[in-house]
Amino acid sequence: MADTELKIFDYDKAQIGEELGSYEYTLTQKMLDDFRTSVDDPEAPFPTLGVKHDATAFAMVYDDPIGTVNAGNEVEFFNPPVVGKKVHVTGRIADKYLRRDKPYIVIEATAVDEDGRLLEKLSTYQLKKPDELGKKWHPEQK
Amino acid sequence: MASRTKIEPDQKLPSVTKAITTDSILQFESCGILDRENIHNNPALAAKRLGTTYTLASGRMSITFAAEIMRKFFGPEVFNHTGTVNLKFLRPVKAGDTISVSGAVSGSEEIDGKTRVSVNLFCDNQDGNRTAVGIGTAVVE
Amino acid sequence: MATEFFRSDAPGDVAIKMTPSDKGRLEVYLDGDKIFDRKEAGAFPDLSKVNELKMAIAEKLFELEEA
Repeated sequence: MADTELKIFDYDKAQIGEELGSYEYTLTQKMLDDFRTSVDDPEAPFPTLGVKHDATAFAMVYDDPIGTVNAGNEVEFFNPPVVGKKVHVTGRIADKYLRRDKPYIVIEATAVDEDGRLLEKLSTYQLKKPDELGKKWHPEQK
Repeated sequence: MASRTKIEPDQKLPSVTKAITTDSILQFESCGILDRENIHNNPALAAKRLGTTYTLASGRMSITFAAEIMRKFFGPEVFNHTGTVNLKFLRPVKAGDTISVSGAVSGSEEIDGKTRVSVNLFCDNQDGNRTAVGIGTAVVE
Repeated sequence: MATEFFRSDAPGDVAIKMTPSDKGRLEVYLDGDKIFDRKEAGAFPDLSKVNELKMAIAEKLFELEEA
């Protein structure tokens, strides 16, 4: 994707179905090794989870000064990625809703490799008001 | 390796326990393709956005741990091609925590001549507090 | 299905009310919100629906859970 100016994320203007950044990268052996070491699993087959496809697609379009907290992830696995092959990712905003007056969005991404193999579908439920959660976890509460 | 004939309701999955360290959190973040600061790799940003004095481990680490026990139970040939993991995160995970991930078969249903098996998934920290809960599935012949 | 829900996790202080009644009626309320009604659904929940309901509970826990 061309290096375009990032838009400031405005929750009210975000549209359900809005396309986020699509991009390509080549999975390297180092990415795979780092991922496996970080999760302490020498056979972990989906380093794509460490690339955070949906959040990356979002970050390629938006600058989000308020930030986000990950309320949940949903992932479907189809084929492990292969080191050295290109991974093509497309992302979109799948949903947007208020819960107890707190703003959430659901972003999702689909990854396909250069041979057309479907690798992974991933979505993230994001609370777009992280300070709300911070109040629960603030040091004094520990 | 689980196949349809050997899967029973309540069957326990092999659990795993993972020590979360600053290094493992940062190494997980380094797997990405964007060099961006966030609440996982920048304490000042975590303090500003969350008011915490610590950075958070990415929830996707817990997703990966849960996928590991599913893969070990169903086998890579089944799980890597038909598996799903769906978790809601209930508490922050941070450096110094130890996360135990466990699961138990909750049921199965026939789909197109195959069997989709559902698993209840739990992530708990060293204090016994639940950090994530959810469901995993896989399709066995 | 009740055992599914309670066995699956400790719901904490989220109120889960299931109202089985005669004629096969079953309603599931979560913190006052109806999240399942057999009459409206036209059938008892299958495993996929039970999973969906469980995730609705888990989501509610995220909203309420005190650290």
